[in-house]
Amino acid sequence: MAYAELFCQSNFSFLHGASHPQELVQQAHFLGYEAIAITDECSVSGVVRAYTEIKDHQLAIKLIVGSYFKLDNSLECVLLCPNREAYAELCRIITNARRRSPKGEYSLAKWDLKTIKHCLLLWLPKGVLSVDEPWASWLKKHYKNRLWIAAQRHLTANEHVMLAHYEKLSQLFDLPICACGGVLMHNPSRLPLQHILNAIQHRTTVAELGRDLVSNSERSLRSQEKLNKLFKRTWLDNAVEIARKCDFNLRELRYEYPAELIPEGKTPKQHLRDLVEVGIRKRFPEGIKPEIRHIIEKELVLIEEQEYEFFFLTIYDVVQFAQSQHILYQGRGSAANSVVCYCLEITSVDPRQINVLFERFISKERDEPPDIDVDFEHQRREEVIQYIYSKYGRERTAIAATVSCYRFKSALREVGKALGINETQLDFFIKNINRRDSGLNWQAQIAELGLDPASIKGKHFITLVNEIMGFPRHLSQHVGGFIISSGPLYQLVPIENAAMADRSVIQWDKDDLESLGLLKVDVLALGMLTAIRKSFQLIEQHYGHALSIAQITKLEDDPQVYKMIQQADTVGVFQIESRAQMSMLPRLKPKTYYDLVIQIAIVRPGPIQGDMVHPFLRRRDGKEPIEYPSEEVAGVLSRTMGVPIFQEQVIQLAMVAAGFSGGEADQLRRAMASWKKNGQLMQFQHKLINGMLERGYTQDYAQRIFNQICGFGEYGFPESHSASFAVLAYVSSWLKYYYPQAFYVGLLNSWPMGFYPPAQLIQDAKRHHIKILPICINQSDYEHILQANGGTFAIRLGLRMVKGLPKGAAELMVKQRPATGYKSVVELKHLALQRDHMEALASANALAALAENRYKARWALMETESELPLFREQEQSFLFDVTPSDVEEMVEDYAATSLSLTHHPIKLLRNAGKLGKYTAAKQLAGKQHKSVVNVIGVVIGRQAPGTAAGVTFMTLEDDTGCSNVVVWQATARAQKKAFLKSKILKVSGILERGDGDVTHIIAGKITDLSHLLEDLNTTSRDFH
Amino acid sequence: MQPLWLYLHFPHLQLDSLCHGISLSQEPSAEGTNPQMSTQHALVILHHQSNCVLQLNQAAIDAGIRMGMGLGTAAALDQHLQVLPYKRDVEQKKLVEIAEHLYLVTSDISLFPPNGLLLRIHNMLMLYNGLNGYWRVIKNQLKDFQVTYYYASGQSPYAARILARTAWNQVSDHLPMLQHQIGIRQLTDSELDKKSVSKLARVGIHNLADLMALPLKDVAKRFDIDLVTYLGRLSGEFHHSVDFYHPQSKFQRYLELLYEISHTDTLLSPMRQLLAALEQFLKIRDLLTQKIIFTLYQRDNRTLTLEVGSAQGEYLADKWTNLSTLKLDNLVLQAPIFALELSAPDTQLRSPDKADLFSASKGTLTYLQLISLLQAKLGEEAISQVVLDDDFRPEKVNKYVPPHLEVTPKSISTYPLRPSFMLQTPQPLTEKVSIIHGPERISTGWWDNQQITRDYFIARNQHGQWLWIYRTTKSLWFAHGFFS
Repeated sequence: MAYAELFCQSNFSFLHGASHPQELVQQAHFLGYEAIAITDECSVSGVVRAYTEIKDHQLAIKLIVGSYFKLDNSLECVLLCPNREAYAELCRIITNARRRSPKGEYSLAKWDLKTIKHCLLLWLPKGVLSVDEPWASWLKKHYKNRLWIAAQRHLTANEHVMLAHYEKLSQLFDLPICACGGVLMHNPSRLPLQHILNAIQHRTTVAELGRDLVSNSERSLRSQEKLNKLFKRTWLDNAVEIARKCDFNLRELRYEYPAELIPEGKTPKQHLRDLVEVGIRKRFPEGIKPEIRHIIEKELVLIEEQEYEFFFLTIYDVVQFAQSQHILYQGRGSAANSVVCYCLEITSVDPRQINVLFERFISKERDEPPDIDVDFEHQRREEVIQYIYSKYGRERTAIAATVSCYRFKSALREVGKALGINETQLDFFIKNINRRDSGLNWQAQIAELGLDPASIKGKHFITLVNEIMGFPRHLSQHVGGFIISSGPLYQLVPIENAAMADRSVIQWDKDDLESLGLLKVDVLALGMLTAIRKSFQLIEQHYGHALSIAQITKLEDDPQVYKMIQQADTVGVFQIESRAQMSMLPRLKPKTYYDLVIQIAIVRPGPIQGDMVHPFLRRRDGKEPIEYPSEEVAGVLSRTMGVPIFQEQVIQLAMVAAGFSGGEADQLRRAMASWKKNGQLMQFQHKLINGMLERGYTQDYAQRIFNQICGFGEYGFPESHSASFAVLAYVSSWLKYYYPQAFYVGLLNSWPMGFYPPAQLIQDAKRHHIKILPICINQSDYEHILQANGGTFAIRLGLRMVKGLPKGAAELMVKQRPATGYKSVVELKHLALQRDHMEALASANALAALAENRYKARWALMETESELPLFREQEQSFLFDVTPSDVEEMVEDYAATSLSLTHHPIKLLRNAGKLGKYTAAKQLAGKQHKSVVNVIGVVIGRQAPGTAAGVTFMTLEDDTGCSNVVVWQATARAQKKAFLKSKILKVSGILERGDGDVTHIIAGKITDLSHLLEDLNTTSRDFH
Repeated sequence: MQPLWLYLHFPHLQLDSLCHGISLSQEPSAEGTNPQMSTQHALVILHHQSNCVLQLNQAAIDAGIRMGMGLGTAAALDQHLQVLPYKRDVEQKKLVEIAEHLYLVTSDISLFPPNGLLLRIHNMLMLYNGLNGYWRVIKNQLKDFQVTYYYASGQSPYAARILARTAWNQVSDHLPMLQHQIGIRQLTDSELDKKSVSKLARVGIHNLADLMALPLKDVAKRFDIDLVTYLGRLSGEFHHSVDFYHPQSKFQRYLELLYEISHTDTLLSPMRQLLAALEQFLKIRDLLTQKIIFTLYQRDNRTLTLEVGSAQGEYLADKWTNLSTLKLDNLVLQAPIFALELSAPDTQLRSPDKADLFSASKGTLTYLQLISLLQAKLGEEAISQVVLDDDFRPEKVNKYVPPHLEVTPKSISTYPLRPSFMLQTPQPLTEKVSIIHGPERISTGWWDNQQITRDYFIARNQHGQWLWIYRTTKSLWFAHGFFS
């Protein structure tokens, strides 16, 4: 007695299948099936997950790759792959069917089926002889002995008619019949979810669907005992026989790199070595030290052993292109920080500065592919992408998919709609559920919001929302993971259209690629690189110094720059500019490059949740002895004083301390990356803790390591990435210290990027005594620029700051500007710009040079007569004389440019006597630790990191500077409205001064003062 | 004669009109502030689209609720808050009612729906001995309504309107004073469109004095003609034509109740109010009516109509009250009443000669008429229609719906073989049968708590009858229907 399920759809048949591929193979294995085919509709997206599940758990079940298709409403069939050729065929016709249709759809042609020479075809007859007969003869003609009638039994009405129909077709056309399940669920309990998915697909409610729903749970994996009752034994035996014909295993897929990367007559190994030798001469002009030469040799051997030459060469080729186009880039990732990559100019991390061993990154034992991501300037990444497309052609290049899954909000909304819950109510739930409130889960919150969790609907709602979360919804593009092959890619994996025109994605995501050992090249975008390049250009233009990232890192650690970093003067600096990072800088006091690497990785949820930060600080300050529980652990942790900080360390710990095998460690790494999605991490808890206890570690230590693994989760931060980021953090700090004007202008001109909006960057520049010149129609360009001013440079704000003024209009104004500047508003009007663009200029007070104030400028703009030729030079007949008040000026400034150079709201309110007694930000330094203070400011930042028990950091800005407020969850909850909505806030609280003079105010009472501004000027518009 | 206008603005007409028709016996209240209101529960009128409070009573103000507040916040401040949706037509009906009453003392009335009345007064001053005399009469006339109002006089319709709407609450014909008052009004309170107002604000012009100080020529170069026209009409320089109100020839009055009424006895009191109004209407015009129609608005938008006839014609409220009381006895309320309306479609001059008493025509009933007749006799709930529904569960396949709703049947695919005779409730299977077809498994309905899990079979018993039977998960057998 045996059975093989040949027709089974997972949830990658979107909104139809109601089980994960993993669940299906597990259940099929449990039921003792000999094989299971995952046959999603025109897709193989789910198969790798099923394959990985079988591999990871060593399940004794065969996986068959196949796909289900519909053609013209008259034919339904399943294609199965017996061998590699069949698989290539399948990928090809899926690609064709998908590429003919918009994203998410497909249209199969009869021709596609005709070209199939190897796949086996299971035919699912419609049950109407007139429809089925022509197909039977057509299929018989083209598929001969690769064709079966697939009989299904789902205990629906009149099934006996269908059974008779199968027999009849079988007799008429001499076709064998096999049994199949038409499976949509691994378990009958998924029926409600399947109904919900169906309703979501049809945009209606479950109740409305009526008999379009599945009438019972028979479309689940059923026991062999039951199947024996339902089907003739011969039908079941036929299914098993078909399964035995299918020998194709995804393991066979091998990836071939494009051959054109290697000059003729050379081997990849030779070519890579030659390029590295050229690089050595360039990177080490003064000669190379023997120990570095030794590392290079070791790395090259490792690369050769793993046959990774093509991977390095591909990336080399891409960065060479970027270099030729003067696009700034920086590599990162496990293999990126090797000396080989330094020589190939993939990264600028000087190996002499960082004691990074390449071995640590490519692990032979784990057989995990090397990881190199390359960041490019965010405004120019498209050029690089286009280069890849043009070099390799669209047939051979595609972007990896990202599987978009149901998240909390989408789950809540869609399930709610399918259950017939009012949409406005769902909106209300979504708006009012605070997912950051770790004390109160969403189920409890939703009950507070008025859904009765004990009611039938409430119960279903909560269960189904939980069940659907993590279900895939559609495929979208990965941010930049390219896969490039030597032959047509569609023989390896199907390709489909992405939402973006001219983009195509493969049907697998990066985890799938990794599972199969296929390599992808990550082409990512990074705003900071744009900013750095722009700063470099400004420095060259104004100071005559040509700089590069490699040059700055070669100058070695500069104490002045680190001094600035230690004082947390890092607004605008890469990575270390967030509130949390800034509050840690004075305590960690980074002095060297490697300190920065640690700094970047340590202020993350992982180390914080694992309670690793304080031990590290204590050990660093010598307040606590550095101890290692064992020799092996010392090997892993010595560079971070015995405290695990990096993701790699945690993985290594699992191997050396808990006895994980290479494969298990790799599973652990992947579970960490996606554990928020599916919670797979918990299955490692037992093994890890027990493994460590067995090897003599304490329960407490083991638990802490596990907590950290959980904390890493999606935010996991590997040393290899931190090392590259630290380079950019250092370079941006260096620029900020030595060329602050160029640094700010570079940042501002690259915006949107980074952590701070322009207004705050400009405030920061002002605090560094840099003169900021206002936007002026006769002085400003579109971009911000440097202007000589009193022996130094000042920043002249550009027209890009003006809200509502498009780039084209601004550039036209600059281009047409007479050498002596515009003389009058009338002259400006002759440019025939759109009225609202001129208005925008007036609002930003950019016309101050032409008219005294913006009211006058607008009054002049409003007039239409002078646009007529006859009245051109006519003078103003009447002197308009209305002057805006300070408050009006400030409101206008904020509305038009989001900042005011002349007025600060807090100052205006104080001058009007509206504020009472409070402590200005500047004066906080003079206050005692633990003293009670009142601070007032404009709320410029609210940040709630996913860690630290729901603390929110708020930044309040007054005219003297910023103050940092910490709001505890209970405080925030009790004073929710003031906390969430206010623009101007008064906080009464206790001042706390910690290590390194980090000053916080722990909020007690929060008062919303936003209305004061309205009172100041009743006519003011909404203040932003 | 210098033109003079008076504008009356009713800021919360809907709130005020709740349960207050013309009740002559009520104590007069100064300028309409209603002493009764303060003792009531907090009550707000909510603007549906914007979800904010539009009108509110004293109790609501005391609870801390303010105009423009969202419903959520308001409800949080007073958990017993009563909320009514804003209805423009309620206000408009009330406005007409007030105009009608004022028409008794002043001639030229113009409606500014939903909540303003403009009176041309310079031609009435002679009659009432000057402005003060006139205003006393108007005030007196307004007392009967117990509504809050703001008022002001002005040299032009717009002038009076802006002053009244900003609650100046004075009457004067002193032009400099009027002009000064207008000047200090904000542009946002004027009739100007939002776009012009914000355009003006952006050059620092916020009130009317600022605007009027600009030379009209310069303004005209920059703004459209509407703004210039407005300014001209405001100052009285441009003619402003308005339509004046003419009294209605038919009686129709709507009354919204403060509390929903579910007993017919209590219904009598608001009905009396309406009948008093009717009496006044008819009396002034020297008319009678033979038929009055009460429309009773029930919750959930169903309405009841109650026709009361008096063959010889009648105008006295007392008589109509008696007749209506009799009719009320037969009336069954299916849902509470939240409003009523009284109309008298036909009227005739008093002392008419009546012709044939029994000439009501006898026609055939249409389908809908039949249904309404049946519903009137038996009650609405008693009449339903059977339709097919798309559901696997046999119990759910037929469903009853209210008949006169436009039911566009869903296109329902044909059902598989089903018995033509179904048992109301399935009966335990007590006889021996042989199974012919099956099973058909139906396991669905989890969403409405009427889940079933059954295996259906087609079977034949020993008498040769074909049965539709099923087995439950507990292996109990039931017969559910018979095939013909």
